[in-house]
Amino acid sequence: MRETQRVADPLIRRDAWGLEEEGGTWHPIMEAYALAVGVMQGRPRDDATSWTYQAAVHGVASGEPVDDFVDQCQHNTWHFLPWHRIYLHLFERIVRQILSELDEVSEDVETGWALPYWNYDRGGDTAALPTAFREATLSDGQTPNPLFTDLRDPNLLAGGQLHPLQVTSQQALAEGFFSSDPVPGGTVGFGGAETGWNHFRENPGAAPGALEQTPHNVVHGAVGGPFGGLMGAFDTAPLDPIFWLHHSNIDRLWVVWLGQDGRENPTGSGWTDLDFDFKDETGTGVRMRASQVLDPATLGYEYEEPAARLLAAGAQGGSAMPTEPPADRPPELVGATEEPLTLTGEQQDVQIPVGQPTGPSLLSDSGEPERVFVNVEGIEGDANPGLSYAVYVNLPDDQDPNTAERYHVGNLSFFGIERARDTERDHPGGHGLRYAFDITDLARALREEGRWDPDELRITFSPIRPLPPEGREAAPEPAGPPVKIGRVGIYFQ
Amino acid sequence: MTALALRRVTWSHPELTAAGVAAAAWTLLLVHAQHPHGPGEAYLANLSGWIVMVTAMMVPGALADVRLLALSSMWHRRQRTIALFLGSYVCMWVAFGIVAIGLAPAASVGVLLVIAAAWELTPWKWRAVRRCHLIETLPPRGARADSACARAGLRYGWRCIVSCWPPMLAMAAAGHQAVALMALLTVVVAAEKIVVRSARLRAPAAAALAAAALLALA
Repeated sequence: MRETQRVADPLIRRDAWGLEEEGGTWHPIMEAYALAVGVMQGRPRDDATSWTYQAAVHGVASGEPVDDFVDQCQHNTWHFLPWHRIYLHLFERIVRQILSELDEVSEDVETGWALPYWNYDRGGDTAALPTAFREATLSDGQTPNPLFTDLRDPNLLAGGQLHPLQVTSQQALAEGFFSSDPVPGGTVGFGGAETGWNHFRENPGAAPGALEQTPHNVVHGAVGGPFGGLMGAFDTAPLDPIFWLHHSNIDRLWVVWLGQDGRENPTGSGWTDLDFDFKDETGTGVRMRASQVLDPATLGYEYEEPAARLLAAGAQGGSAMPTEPPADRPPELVGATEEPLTLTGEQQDVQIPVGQPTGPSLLSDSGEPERVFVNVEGIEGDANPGLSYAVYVNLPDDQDPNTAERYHVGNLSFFGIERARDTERDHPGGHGLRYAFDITDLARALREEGRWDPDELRITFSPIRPLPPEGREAAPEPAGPPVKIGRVGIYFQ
Repeated sequence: MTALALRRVTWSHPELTAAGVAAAAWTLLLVHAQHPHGPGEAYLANLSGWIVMVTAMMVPGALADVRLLALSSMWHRRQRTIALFLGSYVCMWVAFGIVAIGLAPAASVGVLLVIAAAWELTPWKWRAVRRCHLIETLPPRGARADSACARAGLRYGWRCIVSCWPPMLAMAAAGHQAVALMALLTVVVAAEKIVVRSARLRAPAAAALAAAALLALA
């Protein structure tokens, strides 16, 4: 059993844009990261500390052999956060091991190096890729930059920024509970559905938590872009060096969420004691579980940004979400689309006739449902189209989606969609992706204003893409592969 | 358990009715096994037995999928969804049975179990298992919902037949009195559908079927 005591002097994971503001593009911490990545990229696939092996730990291409150590990433589940925390921690140890062997890295950097994070939601220019990831060469102007890949969205490569709706963590941080039972219809909290081991959809009802939906999934698709970029798929995402900084930020947001009143991690053994297998910096197998990684300081690191300060920003405008999972009656379908629809990169509206509940939702004291959800079900496609869709409820005809934050209930994105039709892997819980959005507050507000039609809802899917650099035309972006939506449903609870 | 608590269980587990039907089928078969018929059992009696048998064997593995379908249906349609889906599913197995009962008595149960064990080790078997779970979402109401649900059950049944035809041919040869073999095969086919990363079961499942084949051939 590993030690779970806090390290006295933990390493500090720093904001990548903060490093750049302090020390330019090639701050020593960033340059050290680039050098270590270069070393890993030069190692063969059968070396557990190589770049390609570490990517395989997350996912491998369909048909490639798998074992207990590769193709293991956890998504659409409450294991998403602890699994990725362990994954990053062991990656960080590999990088530190490499840095200790590199003469060109100073002792200060070598001993103090920790994985930076990309806080794309800090405002200013921070939604752009840090410059070190866009440069073709290192600081000497000659050595190819291991952090650069052109397999990314063209607007981001040109210095553009992720769309504000793609990077916001506001809705995720407003979630009041970590997880809930995977019952169709409802949302499953901050961290995801309560499942067993779940790589994609192995468990019935597996569904992503709010943080996994946005910003996690959305940023994956947006950085990958419409040309099949690395970040858009399970088996290639960790090959893009920005992956690790993106996940460092997701891990940081878990710390931020826990810093809010009433937020707690699960305590059940189904979450705390599920073992995951990895290999460490020596290539030796290690088995770890959530209970060993609840406090980053026990793993020897902390985040530089005090959680309380971030919270103040993150909680602005956030609605008061319930701090308990929904009542033990399941959500009830009251309306849905009759036909599947296909998203091809254009804005689309669907009108959904809504009926009256006939089940236990009728039992609410107020006569109104306690919660109202929009579900997007049976999402399938051959590949990630590299864009996401903002989802709006009852968006007025004359309203520009870009100024319609009030009607925005979340985002649809497609990280992992390439597995939906894959019959080379086990998915006994079903194949299509499924997203749920809690629209209770919006429904209540519209009802109070007399603008809520109890018989019909309109759902709008509006594409969101990275923005070009200021003053420049957006690079032309194809729609990407079409995405089929099996059904859009309205549930009361 | 109070009535409200029991009701809450059924709210979240509408598939319990289907589980009850499977349990009833098992009870019937166990009782029936105490009074085995001779080799001259009428064809219709065989087919009736087959219907009860496939209900007992195939419904347990489908319960998780059925639950999701029911919970994703309008509240008043939940049991209708279960009945339509499983009814179509069992119909596909009945169609298989009509052919299999005609063919199987000529073949040895042991030889068919050897084929079933070998089938477990092929990639086709596991692709078929995975295809079982490709269930499309259903329209919410009316005849469209009924027909989509029935079609989904038929597709599910067809994929299940592709996945499980060898052991079920063996059952057609063994007859519905062979409850021990039936129990073994039920565990195997249900686990293959339900267990996470079930392809890891290919070797133990093949070994179990091979052992059953040896017993049958002995």
